[in-house]
Amino acid sequence: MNGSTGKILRVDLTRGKTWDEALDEATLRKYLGGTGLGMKYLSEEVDPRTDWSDPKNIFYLGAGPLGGTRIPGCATISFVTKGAMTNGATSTQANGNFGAYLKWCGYDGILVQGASTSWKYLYLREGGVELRDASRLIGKDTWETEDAIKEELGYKERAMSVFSIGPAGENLVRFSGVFGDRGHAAAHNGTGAVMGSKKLKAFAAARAANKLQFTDPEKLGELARKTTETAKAFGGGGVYNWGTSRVVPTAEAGGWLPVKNYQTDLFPEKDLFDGARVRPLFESKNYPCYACSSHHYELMKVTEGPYTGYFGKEPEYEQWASWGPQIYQKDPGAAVMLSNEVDKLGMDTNEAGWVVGWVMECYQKGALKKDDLDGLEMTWGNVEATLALLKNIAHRRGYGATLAEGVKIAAEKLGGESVNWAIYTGKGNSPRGHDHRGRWVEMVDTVVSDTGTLETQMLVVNKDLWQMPNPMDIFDPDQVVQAEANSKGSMTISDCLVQCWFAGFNDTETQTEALNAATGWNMSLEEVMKVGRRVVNMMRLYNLKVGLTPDKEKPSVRYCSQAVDGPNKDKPVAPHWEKMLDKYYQLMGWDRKTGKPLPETIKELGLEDFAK
Amino acid sequence: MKITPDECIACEACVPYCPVGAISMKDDIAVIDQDECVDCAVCLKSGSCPVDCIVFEPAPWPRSLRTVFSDPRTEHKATGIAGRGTEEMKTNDVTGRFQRGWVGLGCEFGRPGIGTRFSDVDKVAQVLAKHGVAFESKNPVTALMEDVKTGKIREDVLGEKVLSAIIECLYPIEKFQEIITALKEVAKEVDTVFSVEVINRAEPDGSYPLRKLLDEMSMPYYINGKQCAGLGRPLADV
Repeated sequence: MNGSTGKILRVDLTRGKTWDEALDEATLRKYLGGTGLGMKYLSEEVDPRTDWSDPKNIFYLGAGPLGGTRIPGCATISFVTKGAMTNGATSTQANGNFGAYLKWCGYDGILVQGASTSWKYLYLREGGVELRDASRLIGKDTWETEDAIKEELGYKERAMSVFSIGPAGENLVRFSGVFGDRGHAAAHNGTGAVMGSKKLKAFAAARAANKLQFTDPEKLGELARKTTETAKAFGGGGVYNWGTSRVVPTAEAGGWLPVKNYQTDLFPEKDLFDGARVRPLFESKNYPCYACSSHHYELMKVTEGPYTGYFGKEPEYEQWASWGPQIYQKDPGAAVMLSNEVDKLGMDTNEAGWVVGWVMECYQKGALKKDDLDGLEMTWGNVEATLALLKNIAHRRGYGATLAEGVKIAAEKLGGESVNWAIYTGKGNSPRGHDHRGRWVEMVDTVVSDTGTLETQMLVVNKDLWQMPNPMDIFDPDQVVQAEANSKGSMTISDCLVQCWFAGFNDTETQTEALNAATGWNMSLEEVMKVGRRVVNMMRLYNLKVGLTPDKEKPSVRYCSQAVDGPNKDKPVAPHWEKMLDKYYQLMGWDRKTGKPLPETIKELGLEDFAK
Repeated sequence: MKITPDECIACEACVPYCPVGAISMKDDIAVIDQDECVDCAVCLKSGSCPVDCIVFEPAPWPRSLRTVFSDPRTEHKATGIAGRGTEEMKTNDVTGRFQRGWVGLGCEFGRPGIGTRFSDVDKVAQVLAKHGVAFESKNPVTALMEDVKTGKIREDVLGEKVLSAIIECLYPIEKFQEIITALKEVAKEVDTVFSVEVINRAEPDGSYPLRKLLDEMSMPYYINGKQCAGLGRPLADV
């Protein structure tokens, strides 16, 4: 089968066994790979009533049909499980090299089932799979784990890809994630906690010779170059040249930078966090993923301020946002340090930011005092107290144990007014590090998503194909919902092909050409788009069985509150919410009362088996 | 030049930098065609590889010639002579090296984009030798000749490919048209580009003796002002 290794690896941690399982072409055509394939396994094998921490939960990570090709962004890996934040379906991706190395080792994906009684890690190389003892890795952070495994097995930096959990995952912090290749993260919806519940510390895949067969390698080469050209042109090449490092000032200007836990939208120090200033100032070096020439990912060393000498990865926009404006902290060097420490402890930076911001607001307003916080003075911008609190959370020490449940549960436990200060969604998944009161499409998406994080992206290349409003008024409720519903499936295709959005920009047309060049199939655009919508609806059907009801599809009080200043202070989203949901359900072909896909939607997408 | 296969990330960033097009994508990594590569190190010096997996290890003879003829910053340790040609060719107005009645001749083989092999240089050198030219002793190509009387270049280096190489020689002006005609003939057998430069002293009235001879042959030519005008005085009016 061209484009595929023809198999996945099954790992049963309860029995300590691994074996190969064949993949057939009909299945791959229906789900492509990555998120699609993972959702098939989750739907078929995990009873929706199963708790995320139950050994009966599965953990799937997979590449797609383009994994291991030169198409930029296709060394990405997609993780699917029943996640700890929502207890529902999860689809979250990490870039890096694992997707390519996995396929070169001979597998499209790894399906982990059961739970071990002692800590293990999985080691893959060409022609060999091994579950190894991980007891000496326990307590190590995600960077240390990467180093230790490479050292133990004798691999150089780029000759192996390691994804691991940190102390947070070991201690089942609900918003812990999986981190690898120096800070790439699949951190949404508690993937780290699921791994921790199975006592699986890491996945390590050695780089092997590429023996994959593709139908038209020459065409793939052409499409790889085309994809790069698209990336260079998209948004003036901003992402290609700068990654997300220049977003803080733009976000502030648009009123969508989270500042002081949404208590303001003004952050006069925004330019200090601009990548155009920080990259030349700090010692930074490009550290790209396989098959990508963009300058998205850098490693850097802080060269000014109290954290001079600190070395790590350049923060992504969401990390700058969480560890700068959200906690009202103005030193970029400190933000680099905190961003990396959160990655190393193994937590989702977004939820960690909402938790710390909420604690600081509680401290500001007297709802939490020094004594409640194990002696920490959580004043705005207090970097050292933040670091100490994050460590307490990762190790579930003191009040950290409560905060380890996420801001929704912590606020509900503290009660009173504090619930109204917490930023979360009704389902429990975390918004990204934005002030979505200035980005309504993303707020709607975050709230209605079935993935445990974003489910779509309004920034698609083929706007006409996806019938996107163009140009679009981002504060027009009708257009917001159209953009959200019409683009549903576009990002899911990327997650089934398992391509980084920053490399491929959901260019469905090029993706379809590449899919056909890799596999020799002749799938039409419509068929590929259908796969995207099929997987979106599979997730919905699964989550409905978990217990999802439409009343959970709403933002928290603070999340959809009216901005007090900045450019969007006269643009409240809450008054439009129910009407937007009405229209969204209608456009999606879902029943308004139950949230269920209508019979015709199920029939159109061939999901009868999953609707029972 | 080599690319470490298990470190290359196939980003293709190095590909456009190769002056002879020797880098291509194969099996999802970039590879350098060792036969075509001239070891000029432009790929390495471009800094284009984000994972620093382009490496240069000095090669033994005769491959070592590639770097010395292709990287202008390298000394000619292999031939014992520095530079591709001798400096004085370009400064005749100051040095007076080529005297009246004599013609200095240079043949420059290869250009970025194509390069040259010594087998091509050899063909031309042998033709020139048959017409009795005197090869410049301080030139690195001359240093590679088995015998300066035949112009034959050492057998073991004939397959080596370099970015460019220059033959330099001297002959009396009476032989000028005969030699140019012979070069036109041998050019048909040469598998690269080469340019021919001829140097002689202008007459006191400012005219160029070769101009008349070239016009007689209907040869197109360009007079390049490589004189060091005003910067020096000829050592002697010879």
